[in-house]
Amino acid sequence: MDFKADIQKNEIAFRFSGRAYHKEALYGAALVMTDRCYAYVQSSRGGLLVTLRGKRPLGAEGLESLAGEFHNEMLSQTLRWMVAKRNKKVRDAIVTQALFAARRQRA
Amino acid sequence: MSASPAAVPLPTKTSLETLGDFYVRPLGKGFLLTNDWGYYLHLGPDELRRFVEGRLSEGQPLWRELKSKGFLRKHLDLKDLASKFASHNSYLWRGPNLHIVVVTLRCNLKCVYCHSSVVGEKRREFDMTQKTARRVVDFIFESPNPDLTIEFQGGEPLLNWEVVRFIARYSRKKAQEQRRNLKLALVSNFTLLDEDKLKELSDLGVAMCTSFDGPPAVHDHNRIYLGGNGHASVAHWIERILSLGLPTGALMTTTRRSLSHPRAIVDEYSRLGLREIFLRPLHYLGFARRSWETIGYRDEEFIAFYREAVDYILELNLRGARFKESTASLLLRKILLHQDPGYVDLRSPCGATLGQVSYDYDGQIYTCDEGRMLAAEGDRMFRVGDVAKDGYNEIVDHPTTKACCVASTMESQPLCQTCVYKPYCGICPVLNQATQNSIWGRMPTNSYCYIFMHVFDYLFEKLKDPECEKVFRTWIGAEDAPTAPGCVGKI
Ligand code: SF4
Repeated sequence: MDFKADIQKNEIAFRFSGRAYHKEALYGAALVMTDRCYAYVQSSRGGLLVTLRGKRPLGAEGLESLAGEFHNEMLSQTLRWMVAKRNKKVRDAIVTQALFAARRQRA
Repeated sequence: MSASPAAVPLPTKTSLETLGDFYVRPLGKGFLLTNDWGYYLHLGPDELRRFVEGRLSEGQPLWRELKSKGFLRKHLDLKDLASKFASHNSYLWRGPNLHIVVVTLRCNLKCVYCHSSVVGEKRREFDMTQKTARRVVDFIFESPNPDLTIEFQGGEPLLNWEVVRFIARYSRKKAQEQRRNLKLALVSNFTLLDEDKLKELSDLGVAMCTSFDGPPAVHDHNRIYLGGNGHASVAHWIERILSLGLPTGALMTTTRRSLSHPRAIVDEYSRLGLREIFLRPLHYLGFARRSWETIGYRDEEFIAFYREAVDYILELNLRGARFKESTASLLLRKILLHQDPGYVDLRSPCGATLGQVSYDYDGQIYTCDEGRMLAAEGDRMFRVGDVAKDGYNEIVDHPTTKACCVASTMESQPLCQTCVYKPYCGICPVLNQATQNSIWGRMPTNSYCYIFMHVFDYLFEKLKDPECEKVFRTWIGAEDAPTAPGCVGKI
């Protein structure tokens, strides 16, 4: 995942093209970053452009580590969305079974 | 750019078929995994990679653990998982249990952080009348929950002693007629307690809980009592009640003054014979809002204080003492026993109206006590009814109850729905409203979220140490006395 850093503007920008990313994961990762920066998500050339601007001056090193954290968060969110999507039916079945059992107990 | 060690691996198309639903978070040198059934597991980076990439061979210990805890999609024990889910979410099938009755807004103390926006001692127009009290009790008994807790709050409830006594007697009578389990609890500063009242409260089975902030230098600084020695008076009554073998407990609120005294505060509790401390942060409500500049602090500072205090408590336990921290005990009950600890502030959806109801001195009904506190400051958005006009169904169907329910359901919170602590956590729409001007809040900059995330981090780190886990299990063991009702205030 490539990014461009602009030290003057105190920001980094990532471009995500085509379908090579999960949109939910991208928004989730951008949201997680909002405690330390402002996140902007815009459509750009058929993909999305994510810009993260530090709330306080970060310098070259700070921006680099922000990029690393965003990258890791993207992976974490992607994994979460992948397993959540794949397991949705079985998850619903378990919750339904739990609700059903409790209802029977009360009746 | 290369990924740091905290990066999670991604599954392949085939390995994805083997993975159950789970949440993950880097923690220390490894990762923490949880699932909606309340199970958790610590994995090292390499173990996580092998699991996610489907490279674990069947039968090996880690595979067996993942299987038994519902992390392997092809080997789910649906019955076990459903029963675990039902057990730690058992509150979903009951009506409100906790009923907070504000019998007066008057108070004889001037606490720097008072969340309740109280009024002076002479303003009797802020007392609940007996007529309203009767209506409140009748209303409470409309709740379908077979177990009811009535908590007397204020102001200082003992300033309206006659109404406390009336509610206690009348509700006991109703509980007996209707065969309901009723717990009564009084939250008082104890300065107006005397032997006669103590006897009567004890005869009526009222548990007594107070606010106690630690040694005199901290307690008297936070809880200003112009009528005498506040610390000495509370300490006297705590010791007296304990000596009679009656249930009592104390709530501790952390101010800036407390931050540098974690050990002294724990020692003071222990010296009086208390066996539990509830380390609570200050909330941006009531008088605390106005004095935030002088008594408030950053969330990180609270977490540092919390860690030091609980580290010390663990140390005492390892040396043979029996003493526990309440927030940790409540969370550990969920984490280790899959049980609902009955804590209305930490569940999904939150307890607003569905788990707790708060009744103001004038009979106005609020979703919870925090909602009532906000109303005292002029924002009445959490008012859901009036005991003189409305019935139980009206408050349950009230749009505010529904809005709180939706906003505090973890699945509808953008950050919580992917968070590793979702199976055990909860959010508070009232605090969101008070601090972020929205009942939904914004978790990345939300104080409540920050504090819980770090308390969970701390507990899960400690759970890696078998000695600490052993101590934690004694805090929630069957032989352990549960927290006195009334002493489970807002964390
Ligand atoms: S409130 Fe914070 S810690 Fe709790 S589940 Fe939501 S994101 Fe996680």
